[in-house]
Amino acid sequence: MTTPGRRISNRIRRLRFDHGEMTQEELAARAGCTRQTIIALEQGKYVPSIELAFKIARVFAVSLEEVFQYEE
Amino acid sequence: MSYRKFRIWKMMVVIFVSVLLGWSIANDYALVPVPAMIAGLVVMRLLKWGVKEETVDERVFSVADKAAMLVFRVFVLLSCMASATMFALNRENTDLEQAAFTLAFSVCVLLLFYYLAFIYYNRKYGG
Repeated sequence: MTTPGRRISNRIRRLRFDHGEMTQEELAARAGCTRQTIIALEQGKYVPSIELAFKIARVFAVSLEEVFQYEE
Repeated sequence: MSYRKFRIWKMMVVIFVSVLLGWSIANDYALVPVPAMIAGLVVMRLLKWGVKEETVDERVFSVADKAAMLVFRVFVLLSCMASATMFALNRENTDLEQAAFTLAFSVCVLLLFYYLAFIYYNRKYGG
């Protein structure tokens, strides 16, 4: 786990609402993780592995950069 | 089965195995504890098979790793301090020597296991 929330942000919550108001539970099931992990991601408390990041991006059918942003 | 139901069943299995262990220790039945614990683990594994939701993922493993590392460090440090203190107090109370040796050797075995595990995972992940 890298330092959470400081350099990497995400738009998971916005993307969920834009995709038919998908629930956290549904996103977790489709990404293969727990609902608690989705909550932690949205709160910026956890930075996912590359594998999980790709899985989440694939759920929304968008590129990785549209989901996660790296801030200098 | 939902994760919530699994947790209830898990608690019941733990309580049952704990009662069985307590009863066997109180009645000097030495052959009961190990099979009881193995049976409990098998039952929990079978129950977990039926759970549809994800119960653990990378974040849980990551958190568990951090917690385990912290506990390991604290345990080793406190055990060394306790062991040293018991050795120092040995002259006043000779029973402490055995306890001190047990604690000290436990720490040594733990450190040895950690060292071997570190070598294994370091090689596995390209070290």
